[in-house]
Amino acid sequence: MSTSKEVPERPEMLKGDRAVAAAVRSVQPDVVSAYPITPQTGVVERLAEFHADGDLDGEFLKVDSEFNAASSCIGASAAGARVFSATSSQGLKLMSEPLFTAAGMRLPLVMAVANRSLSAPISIWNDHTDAFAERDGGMIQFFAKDVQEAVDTVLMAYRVAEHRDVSLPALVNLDGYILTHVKEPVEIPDEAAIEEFLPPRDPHATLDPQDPVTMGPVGRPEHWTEARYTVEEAMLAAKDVIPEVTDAFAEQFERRYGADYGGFLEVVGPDDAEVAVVALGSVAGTIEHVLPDLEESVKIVRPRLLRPLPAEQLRAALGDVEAVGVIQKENSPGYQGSLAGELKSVLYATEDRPAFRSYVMGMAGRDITHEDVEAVVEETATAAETGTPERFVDEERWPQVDPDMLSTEVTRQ
Amino acid sequence: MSESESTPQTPTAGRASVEDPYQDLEIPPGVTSDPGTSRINETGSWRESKPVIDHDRCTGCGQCTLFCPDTAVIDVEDLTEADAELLDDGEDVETPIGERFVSIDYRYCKGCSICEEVCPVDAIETVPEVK
Amino acid sequence: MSAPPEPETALPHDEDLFTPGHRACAGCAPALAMRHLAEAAGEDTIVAQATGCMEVVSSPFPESSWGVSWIHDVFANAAGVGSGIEAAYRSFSEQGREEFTDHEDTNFIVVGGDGATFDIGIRSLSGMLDRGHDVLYVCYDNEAYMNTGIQRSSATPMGASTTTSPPGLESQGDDTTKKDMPSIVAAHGSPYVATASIGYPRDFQEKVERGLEIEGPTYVQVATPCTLGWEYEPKDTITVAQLAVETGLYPLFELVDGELEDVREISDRRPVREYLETQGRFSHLFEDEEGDAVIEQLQDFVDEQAEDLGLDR
Repeated sequence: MSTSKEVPERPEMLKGDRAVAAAVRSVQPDVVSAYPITPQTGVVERLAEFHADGDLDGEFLKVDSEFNAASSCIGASAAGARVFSATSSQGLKLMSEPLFTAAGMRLPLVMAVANRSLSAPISIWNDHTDAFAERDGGMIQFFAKDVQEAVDTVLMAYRVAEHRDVSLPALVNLDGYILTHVKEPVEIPDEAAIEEFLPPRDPHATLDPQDPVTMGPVGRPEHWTEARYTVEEAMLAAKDVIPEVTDAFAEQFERRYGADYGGFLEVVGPDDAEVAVVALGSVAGTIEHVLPDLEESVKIVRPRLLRPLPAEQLRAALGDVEAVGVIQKENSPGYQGSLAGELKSVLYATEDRPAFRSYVMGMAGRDITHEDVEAVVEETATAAETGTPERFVDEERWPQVDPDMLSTEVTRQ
Repeated sequence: MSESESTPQTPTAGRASVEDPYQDLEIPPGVTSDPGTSRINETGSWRESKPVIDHDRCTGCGQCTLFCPDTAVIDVEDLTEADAELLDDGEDVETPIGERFVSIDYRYCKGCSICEEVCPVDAIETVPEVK
Repeated sequence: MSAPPEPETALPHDEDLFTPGHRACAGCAPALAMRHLAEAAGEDTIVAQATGCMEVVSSPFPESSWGVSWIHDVFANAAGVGSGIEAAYRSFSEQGREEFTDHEDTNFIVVGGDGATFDIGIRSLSGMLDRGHDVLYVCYDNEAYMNTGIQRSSATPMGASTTTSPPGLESQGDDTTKKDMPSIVAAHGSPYVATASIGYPRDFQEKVERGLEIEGPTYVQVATPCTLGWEYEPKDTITVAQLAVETGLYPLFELVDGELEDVREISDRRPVREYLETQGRFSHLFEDEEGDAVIEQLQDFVDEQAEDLGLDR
């Protein structure tokens, strides 16, 4: 199958977008269908190069839009194919309509999302507003911290998404530019290894004329609730499948993610830390660098999944800390960042609720600095010492906001 | 063809039942439906008037069969006596099945009367539906 | 002697690839078109269909009128979904995947109403045409968004009344000409584009067969009157359909590699007025001068079109 360009197994320095493409090449999907958008373009371009050289055996569709990238992936998946797509930001927004249906129709597909701000204003730089806007669609959402994890998570995503009990679309989020445009040492498993790791698809049904089926019917009120519930069931099943797959991956490739937490959380720092900082994606790597310089006893809790949300694992990791500080690269105008909202909901069930502070930072690629992190930790730690309501304030802070640029008074800086 | 003496339970070639998709209904993964299950829905109940064929006038041209949106006019070649009884809803029909060209499947006929309009020899008449 | 057991439901519809029991209106032309489409295509077929009347009436879970494999996704993406299905099969065949049928024989069909085809789904269709998928696209044209309650589409003829183009003190109904979809499709380089009418179902079936036979992205647009939306008695569906053709308003032709072929000539072309008279959606045009002016406009358009296409025998 693969011809000229052998992909080496030893670590090599690969740009994130190239690395993801190389991983997909090892998977050899039946159909790749993607539309370019900054900063995902490198993924599509590299896959086009592979295809042009005969290294990507499947069909490579040069679609007219993300809408039809998703749509053609859905058609192909319904036909029984293994598919791949990639996008960012506005592209993900445009895919939204069909993507939600893929969950309802239980059609697995895997896509890489190079996270980028949602307009307006238009921004090509990184944040998580795009991923969170698709939170409720029934898609599995992974978040990767570095390029290696992005690569490995794409591979694991296939096995999770295509599992018969799951059978859902899966998004692998990696921070645009921060991960897509930097070179990191990365090992790309080769085709043979992937063939071993990934069983062939075993769909519940396909459109093959040998056994005709009707997909995507009208769901009347007397059936829709139950139909919707099956998506929830599938997400719950994913909670069992994800640890299995993470284990299997660790066994075969000797890289274990989210140890102690079934692959759901990555925790760095002392178990008995008093302060926990929660963040998604690459910023957790930044925070790791700051850890040694902090006075406070801090651990970083990085969820690897947004959906299904690992509530039990989060309670286990956060239940005993004195204070939680959440750094979010998104917000929900009118209330606060969605990650904070989710965590508070998770922690509501704990006996001793930790003090809670949430911060909107890193929007549109704005650097989260050493000082930013220190300030977050300091304030969060202080929050543990004060009584209610200071322990648990609703208001979210935007510490990076420059009030001089704004005509109104900034109350949440 | 003439198995006019055959009892209804004698299977004929191609005879099959329509499985009731509502019986023990469980949502399949992805909410898929099985093919051809619309047959459980007998749209004949919609009718306010019904077409009746004068089989003596009928020349078997097939226009009615061609133009029925509900596939409710059937070529008699596909039918047995027992089938005909079912299709005619137990009504008295003078012309035995073997002497007809077409027969109306009243289980599905919605009474649109396209068949009457397209019949070139005026062999079809619409009469009020008596329920 | 015990009574014979209740006979099972009679057979005749076992072979149907579009089964009765669907919820289309009595006298529905699009439903008849679906019947003929399925018949012409045969068993070795996969259909991707857009949201619309025919999708809704044929697929209320758990009932389905489709005897062939069929998928519905959203309103605007049937052509995108169909592209993906066809691509999957090309991939399977390349790989020699024996568990799937050989794509050489399988028919890949995309179905959409005029709304899905001319308007909201035109992007998807354009992409499919551009990429050259081996798919037949069938548009059933009832000249408005019928399933949502008769709103105008870009296929709605000048002067037609719809809920979003109602006649009024300052309106004569729809005020734009019908989008020339066949030309648009042909301009993409489609090897086969045809117009058909439910008034001539055998011709429609033949065109479907031809569209399936010719490799590449092909297109058949079939005129299908809507008894409810056009306001006429259900029984007149076929008459109305044939009249649209006989007046030259809906010319039937084939474009093979962009070249006009097989134009259905009309021996005694009837004035469009005769066609417009049959439907309530045009009744306002017969009330005053302004309405009459629209009728004349339509007649002029038809006369010009007849000359361009060589319609008159």
